Amino acid sequence: MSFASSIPSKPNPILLWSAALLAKLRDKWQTYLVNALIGTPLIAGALIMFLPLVWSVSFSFGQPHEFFKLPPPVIPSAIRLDNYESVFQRVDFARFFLNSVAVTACVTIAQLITCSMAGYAFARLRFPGKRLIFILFLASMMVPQHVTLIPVFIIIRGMGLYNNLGALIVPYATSVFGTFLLKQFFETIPNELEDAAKIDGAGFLQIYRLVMLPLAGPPLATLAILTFNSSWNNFFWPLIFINSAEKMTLPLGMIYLRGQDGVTNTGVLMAAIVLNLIPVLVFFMIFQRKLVEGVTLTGLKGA
Amino acid sequence: MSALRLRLASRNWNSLVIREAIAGYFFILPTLLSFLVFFLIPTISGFGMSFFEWDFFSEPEYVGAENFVELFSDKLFLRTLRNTAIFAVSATSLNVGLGMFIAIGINSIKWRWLKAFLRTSYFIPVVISTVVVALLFGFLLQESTGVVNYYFSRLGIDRIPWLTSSTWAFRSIVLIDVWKHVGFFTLIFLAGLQGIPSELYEAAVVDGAGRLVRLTRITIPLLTPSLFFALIIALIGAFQVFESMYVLTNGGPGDATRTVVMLLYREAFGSFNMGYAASMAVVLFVIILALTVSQIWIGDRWVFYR
Amino acid sequence: MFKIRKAVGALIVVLLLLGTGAIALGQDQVTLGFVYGSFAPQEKWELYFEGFLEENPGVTINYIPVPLDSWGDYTQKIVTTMLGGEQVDVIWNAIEAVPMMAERGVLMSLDSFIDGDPEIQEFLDDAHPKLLEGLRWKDQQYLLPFAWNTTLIYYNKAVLEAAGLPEPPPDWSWDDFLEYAQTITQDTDGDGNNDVWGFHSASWLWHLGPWAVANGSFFLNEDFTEPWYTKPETIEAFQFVRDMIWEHEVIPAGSFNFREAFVAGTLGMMIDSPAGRQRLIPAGMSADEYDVNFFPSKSGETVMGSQWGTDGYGITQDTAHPELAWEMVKHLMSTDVMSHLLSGEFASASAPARRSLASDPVLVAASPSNYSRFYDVLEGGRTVINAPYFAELAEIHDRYMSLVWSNEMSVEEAAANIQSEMEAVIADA
Repeated sequence: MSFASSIPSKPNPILLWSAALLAKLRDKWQTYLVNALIGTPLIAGALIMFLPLVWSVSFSFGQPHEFFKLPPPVIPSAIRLDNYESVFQRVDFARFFLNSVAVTACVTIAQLITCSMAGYAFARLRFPGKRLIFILFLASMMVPQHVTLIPVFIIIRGMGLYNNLGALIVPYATSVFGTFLLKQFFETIPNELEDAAKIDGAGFLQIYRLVMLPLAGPPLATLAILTFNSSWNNFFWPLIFINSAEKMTLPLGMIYLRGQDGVTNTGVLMAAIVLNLIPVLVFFMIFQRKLVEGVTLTGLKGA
Repeated sequence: MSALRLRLASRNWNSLVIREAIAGYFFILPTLLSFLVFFLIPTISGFGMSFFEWDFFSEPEYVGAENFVELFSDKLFLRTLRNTAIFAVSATSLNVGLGMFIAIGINSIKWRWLKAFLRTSYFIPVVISTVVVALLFGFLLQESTGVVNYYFSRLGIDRIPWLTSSTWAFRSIVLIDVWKHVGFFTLIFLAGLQGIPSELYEAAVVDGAGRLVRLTRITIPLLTPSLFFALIIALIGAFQVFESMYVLTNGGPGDATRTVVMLLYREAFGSFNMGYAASMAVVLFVIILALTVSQIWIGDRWVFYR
Repeated sequence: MFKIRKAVGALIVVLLLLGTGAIALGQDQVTLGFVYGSFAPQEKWELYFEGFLEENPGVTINYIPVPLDSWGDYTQKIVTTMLGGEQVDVIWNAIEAVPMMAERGVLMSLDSFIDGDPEIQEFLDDAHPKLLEGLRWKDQQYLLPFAWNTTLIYYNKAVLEAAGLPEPPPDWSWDDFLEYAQTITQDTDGDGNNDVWGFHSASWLWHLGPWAVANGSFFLNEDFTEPWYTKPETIEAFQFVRDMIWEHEVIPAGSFNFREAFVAGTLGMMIDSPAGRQRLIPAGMSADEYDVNFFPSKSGETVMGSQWGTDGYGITQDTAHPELAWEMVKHLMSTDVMSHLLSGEFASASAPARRSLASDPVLVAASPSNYSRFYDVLEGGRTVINAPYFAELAEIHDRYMSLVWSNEMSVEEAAANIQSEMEAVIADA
């Protein structure tokens, strides 16, 4: 703005033209400067985010004697897959992986069904006690799960689910948070759609299945991704309810692998870490946009 | 549409209302059942259990408030409470503060590719499980033979006892937590920034407001709802912290990194002091509740609602 | 019009199917629940039951692998497994857990089986009496010993040779030991970081115990009722090890994968057990590349002092088939089964409890030449802490000794704290 004010009152066309050019250059230069000034520390931070992951990959190819060589090799001397083979030999890593897949798939699918059902009911149906039940649901989000831990342990035991993958699925088959998410969404669907279906003689189940669900793609995708992430990474629950190696999911299996101190070498542990990272990162790359949308959506809803 | 509803209703009012109610209960049945079995009943019995002494092997014995009295004279519990509180405050402020600055930084960058790259890099650790993160850092942060200390020593920085000294172990756990979670908060703020209408900035530019003024007068006030949300989420999460300590330090050295949940886990499933563990959970709940409620209450004064 | 009834019907059918499915899993055969440490895969354990299953055709074994990090955690996991409703008949566990499991009523006394079964006499005569004695609690036998462990100093011959050191004599002193460690520790490329380390000792009970025993003391007295932390001999021994980290810098500070470093040749000496020898085999180190020696003494005479522990098999009080469970335990004690320990292929393989196997050629071939020193220690050493309050004592020890190891507390202060806290725990019990 200061440049503009210095322009004389009787504008000279050449001066005006050069001033515009200068302003343009200055804008461009400023953009670069700002990008560089802000970008540099941010890129440095991003490197800190990446570096540990890069190290884990390079060490996963390493041989025992290399871990104690300083400087540690950032680029492995050779791509050897011995450590990866060892992961599968030393523990039943494939089993951990399949357990994780089974648990996560069941929990995610179950939540998509139960949350959309309950969300639909809270958003579109009238029934006695609705408000009270919903408020109770919301209040439960504030209670840490450790309060319920011991009684739930007794209940799970009573159901015969102790040391069973069911213990990791059944309590997570529904979600208050997901119900809330879907309710918020279903409330935005215009009444006309529902009424038209009613006139055509559709029942509530049909409205839910044929009108509501087809529209609920985006929030369901959000819920699926968030559920996948939390279920895949769940550690506390398996720690308490799973005791045997054959029922372990990946996070618990990792601790168990490390526990075999004498047998496990660092390269094997690093290889196992990389094997853990691969599916999560693939998942992340595919669903990145949705994930960002999901956090955005939930973030905004929370505010 | 109310006319249509009225017509439908008048035709067969009774059966429709009843049918709708039945349908309503049917649709919430799974969630309601699970809520009762895995939340309501356990919560009530969890509170009840905190007034009993019970070791799973013998009959529970009613002891009144004795567990709570014992709890507040238990030096170890008070220590873990203090650790948890310090962790919560430092992790929350670093996560939320850094997250906000990174988000504002990313947002003010004009090149889209750089924006996308930065957003992705900061977010990647969020999807990795805490256990894997902890195992990885456990290796990188070894004191005498670790990678990080090696490069530090090349830069002329003395070896840091990352996970072995009390003060550093605690700091390392906080730093690892920030590494893992800062991307999540960055994303929340990025979402908040997208919600700020660009007309506001344009109007400010016309009025001659510089970058700093725009930041402090528009961006930050309009980010307060996100900030409020981020603070609540971060604090609730931080008070339940368990995994990284369990994996990396197992509470040590001494009790420097032992948290309430670690102690609770050990009391419940190590020493089988079920009642005592339940009373710890109740205290944790009361703290989280008090913090959340007071944040909402204070939030009314500083959160900018549009 | 309304499909709700249909849906409710479907839901009920699903629930019924789930319920009957669960019931159908019930068995008509006799199944014995067997809890073991899951450091070795199930197939390895199945080797143990060859013969037993043929002799008892109606029996199947339900393998329940429980993660083994420490004996305290392992025992706690077994108890939660049983609380969780799993049928457990036979347990593999260690000496540290015997008093806890006996006091909690988890384990059954084996005395009536032993008295009523002449077949077991052959094993009782062959097993090392100290091991049998160690697995008794209040005059009852709770486990029968299978494999035992103790610790000695392992040294990597190539590393010693590179440092110009001869193999150490059995009567080495603390000064000799320190000199060895100092000579080995080297910064070969001069970048200010040590590339080869002399020794490694963590602050754990298992690593520190032998130093105290070799100095004429231990953590506690013989019947574990009185802590000995403040005895001058104990403090002196711990101080010596601590100083190797913080004064002489021959032990790397912080955590460290010491076995890996030992194999890699970047660690000259470490503390390990007979089981450790088998851990070195898969890592590619053969028995002639390393050897073992006694812990040094302060004054330089041969002390065969260390601490030893043993594992074993026992029967739970919950068992529905005590006779079959006893047959199973007896089968495990047979020479054939125990021979699996010798070759070193079995991941945990410690030393066999049967004395007749101690000189077996298979064992000798897979062991370093000084292997018999482990047996000397069994005669002269102390048992690991086996008291009902083992877990509490271990926690107190770790709490303060970890602070000594991070150079935040002096040995004297830690010892005084441990002494008074342990006294309180013992008084409470």
